[in-house]
Amino acid sequence: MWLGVAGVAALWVCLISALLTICGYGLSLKRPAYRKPILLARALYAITALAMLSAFALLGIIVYTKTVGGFYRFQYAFEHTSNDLMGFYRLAATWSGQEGSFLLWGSWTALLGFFVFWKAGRYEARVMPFFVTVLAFLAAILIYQSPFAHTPRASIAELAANPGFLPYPPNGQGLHPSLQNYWMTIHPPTIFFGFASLLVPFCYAVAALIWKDYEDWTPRVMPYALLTCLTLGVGLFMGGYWAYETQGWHGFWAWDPVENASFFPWLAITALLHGLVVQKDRGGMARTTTFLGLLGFWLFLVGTFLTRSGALAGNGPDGQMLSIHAFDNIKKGGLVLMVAMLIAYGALGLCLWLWRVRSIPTRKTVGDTLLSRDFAFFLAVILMLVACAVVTFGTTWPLFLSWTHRAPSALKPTFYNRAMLPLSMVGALLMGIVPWLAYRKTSSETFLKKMLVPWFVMLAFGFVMLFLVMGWQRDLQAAAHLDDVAWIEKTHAWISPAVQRVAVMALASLGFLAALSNAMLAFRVFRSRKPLSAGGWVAHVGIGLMMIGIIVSNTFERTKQIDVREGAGPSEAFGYKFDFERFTGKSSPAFPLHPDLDGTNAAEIRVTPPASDMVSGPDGSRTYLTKPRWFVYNMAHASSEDALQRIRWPHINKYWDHDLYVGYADDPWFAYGVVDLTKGQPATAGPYTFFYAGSEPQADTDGARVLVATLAVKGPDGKILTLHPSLRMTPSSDGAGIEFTHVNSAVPQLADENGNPGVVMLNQKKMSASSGQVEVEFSLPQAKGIWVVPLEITYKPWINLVWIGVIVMGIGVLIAMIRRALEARLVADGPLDGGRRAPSLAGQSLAGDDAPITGGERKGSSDSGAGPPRAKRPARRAR
Amino acid sequence: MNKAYIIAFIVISLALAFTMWSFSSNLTPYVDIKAARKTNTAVQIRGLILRDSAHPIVRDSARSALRFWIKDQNKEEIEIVYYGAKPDAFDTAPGLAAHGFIRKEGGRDVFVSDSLAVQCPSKYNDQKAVYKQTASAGI
Repeated sequence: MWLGVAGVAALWVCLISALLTICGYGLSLKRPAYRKPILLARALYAITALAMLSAFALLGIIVYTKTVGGFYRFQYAFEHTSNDLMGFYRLAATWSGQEGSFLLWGSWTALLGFFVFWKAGRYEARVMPFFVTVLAFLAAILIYQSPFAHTPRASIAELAANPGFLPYPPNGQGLHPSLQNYWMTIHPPTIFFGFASLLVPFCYAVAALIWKDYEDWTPRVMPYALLTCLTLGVGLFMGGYWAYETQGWHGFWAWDPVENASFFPWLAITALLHGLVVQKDRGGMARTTTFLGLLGFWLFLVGTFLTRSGALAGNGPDGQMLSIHAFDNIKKGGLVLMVAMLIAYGALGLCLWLWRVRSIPTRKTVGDTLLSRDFAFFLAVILMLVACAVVTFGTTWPLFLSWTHRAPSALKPTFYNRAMLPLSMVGALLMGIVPWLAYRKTSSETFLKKMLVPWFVMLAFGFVMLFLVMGWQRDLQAAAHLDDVAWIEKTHAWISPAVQRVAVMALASLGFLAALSNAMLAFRVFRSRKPLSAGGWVAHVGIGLMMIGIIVSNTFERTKQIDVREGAGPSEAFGYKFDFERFTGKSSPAFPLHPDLDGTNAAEIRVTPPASDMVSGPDGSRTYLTKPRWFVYNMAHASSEDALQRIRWPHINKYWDHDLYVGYADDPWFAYGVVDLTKGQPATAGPYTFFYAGSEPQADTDGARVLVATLAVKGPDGKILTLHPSLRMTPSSDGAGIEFTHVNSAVPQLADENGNPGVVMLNQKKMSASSGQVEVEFSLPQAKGIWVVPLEITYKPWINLVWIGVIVMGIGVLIAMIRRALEARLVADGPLDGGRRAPSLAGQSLAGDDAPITGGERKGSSDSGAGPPRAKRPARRAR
Repeated sequence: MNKAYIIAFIVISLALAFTMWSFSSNLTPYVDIKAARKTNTAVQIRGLILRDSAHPIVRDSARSALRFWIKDQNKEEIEIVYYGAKPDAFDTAPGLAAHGFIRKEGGRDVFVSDSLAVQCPSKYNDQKAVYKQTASAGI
């Protein structure tokens, strides 16, 4: 119990010490000549950060140990873990809830702060006060919305009235099985690191605006912006892969509000990167970059508010369901603080920016010629901002709708796909041509000459794709025999389907151009003296590959539903044959159709690939097993009322050029043998003979009615068994009907070779005791029922390009980050010598560089203006 | 005026115009079943999933569809024919929203749907703690 007290204390220490840290840094700004205030401020920051980290560690301990004295004494442990939760998930449950993820955010922020003040040098006292405010806000929110709350104790009266009652719950509610996935251990920490790191550009932008230092901040903030771009970008796709693996709808991106809430800050920070590159090398853009630096973090706060306030969680009066994973249990105090945070940082940023914007020097560099790299970058910034605005608008509009009391409507995800299509086309085109553009001016002749080969290769690629898509469309028309499907297709089409396909293929081709052009340049840069400058281009290659992968895997995706029946021979889809092998579940005797709680349960299906697939199993056989999981999870296993949910997880069979995605169309079911019986007349089914002697209603001990039948069964060995399969009838929970439960249906005397008992039970749907007729369902040795597995098979071509693209992009951003961090070292000055300004910072940063374009004074005089990007040009940042 | 700003302005206004058009064309109103019968455009209907023996939930293998019944706030019932795999949360979901349209099938109306938004059971979030030893593995 001391853990909880210590945790709350840590939060209070964090809050108070954060406020003191701000004062400390304020003092040191007032008296830059003295060392003491800044040392004091650092010590206070260390206390603040350690307090936040220890609160997180304490929650981790609480979650890991789960119980105190055998009981779930802590609410958070009760809600997010359970007795059967094991392995690393015991720890990962720490960040599975609202409060825990706030703590994760706070802890990354606290850790990052050490690094920031270590590297900030002269900027330390300007940046850190704003940095610390977030820790103060988070500590305050967590004091309201405490992760250390206790589970309420059962009252004396309750304990007295119910002899079986315990003072505290003995089991927790557990972690949803889809969270019990290895990505749970890595995806949330990654993406929350990305979120936390958004704060650094924000603080630097604020400092730049207050102290009118619009140039120096660029080299300093660049490595951080790259770090955000990397962690947030990669984190997003980790989440996407997770969904692809477990959700069963064979996609990885659904434009869900929670996904969007991470995506729009990423767009803002990537726009910032491109702006910073232009500013650093050409000057100008300071108005844009400071604004973007402020925007990224603020948009993250907007996203946090949307997904955590319950605004989109679907608990409104109209029951609108907008997101599958929004949190919705924040208390009012925490909510008020969150809104305060949103307003405070928004107002701070906006007012500062508006106040200073007129005094920020501008240079008319951008746009003096359209055929230049700076203009391409400028346009890229605009495009990303527009994309950011579109996604933000699409995600937030339900709020506006509810504020204006309009009739609710649903926005289909196709909105985003459509709105993004032209934006991505222009973006991909820009990425494709920017390697062939020089700063300031490129002569159009040189440019066209250089672009000739890539253009032709791209056109060839485009035509091949178009040819393929036409063939695919014929296939589709042949398959779409159902009027309904055709109609639904039509409602999804916007421009004519043919034009749509051409547009989509054009986008894939432009993605190809982007990958090709950037790969050519990256290759050259890698062989130069400055290989690190290739980072940006490499990242563009990744984006290009990703675009092709996304388009092809969605456009050429084919889906078919088949029923795989045990013993009935294979069913076929896309040339693959699927045959039932076995079901691994430990069937409970009365209900062989029930999956059980074991998460490894699966229907094992033998796949025979078409002859064209050059695959063979480890034993040389051409077939292999695919094992889509199927098991039951009790959503409420700490409650008296069960909420059983069948979990269906797909199995992905990876090939080099496609995925064969095997998901369930529905639950597998067990088809019993059936025999109709009339009282007094024997009936045979297979090797068995059944005789129905009648049935009589009885009352159970709790008053429920039970219908007990008497049957005689003669087996193939001539033995006769008397059985009493029964139906127990209880009013259904909504009171509208009757729920039937099978009782006494297991026949252990007739067990199969694996020891599973046989089953004989009454069909409640065809049951009438008075008429003397019943239908009996059975599964007995030598007359077994069969499994029927409805599968949804999806053929996803080129999907691996998406993941390869993400990895390439990550590597590119990482290279760029290393390069920019090395550069930033050159501008770092002594931390304590007050206002000493490094002479011509920007120039110095580039002195170690190679750029011929921008001397220290940014005269740009050395720019050759020649078209071909030379290998020694510094890399530009990537999306 | 700088050329760059003119181009930026054009790009932004084109993109916004396109976005607004895309937005309005992708907005589907929520209506009740009665209103859905009267229109022939795609709509969204919402209601509670019926799970009794008179309203069976079945897989229609021939059409690759899931068939089930919902009841809307006016207590009107309709069968939904959903072309797709059963969503994960369907088993425990109290209600859902379906996107599609109504057509005749064998003399009665059915709602043909291509996408479902399944309501997550709120029970999962605010289930009451039980202070009793419960068997954990029993089904």
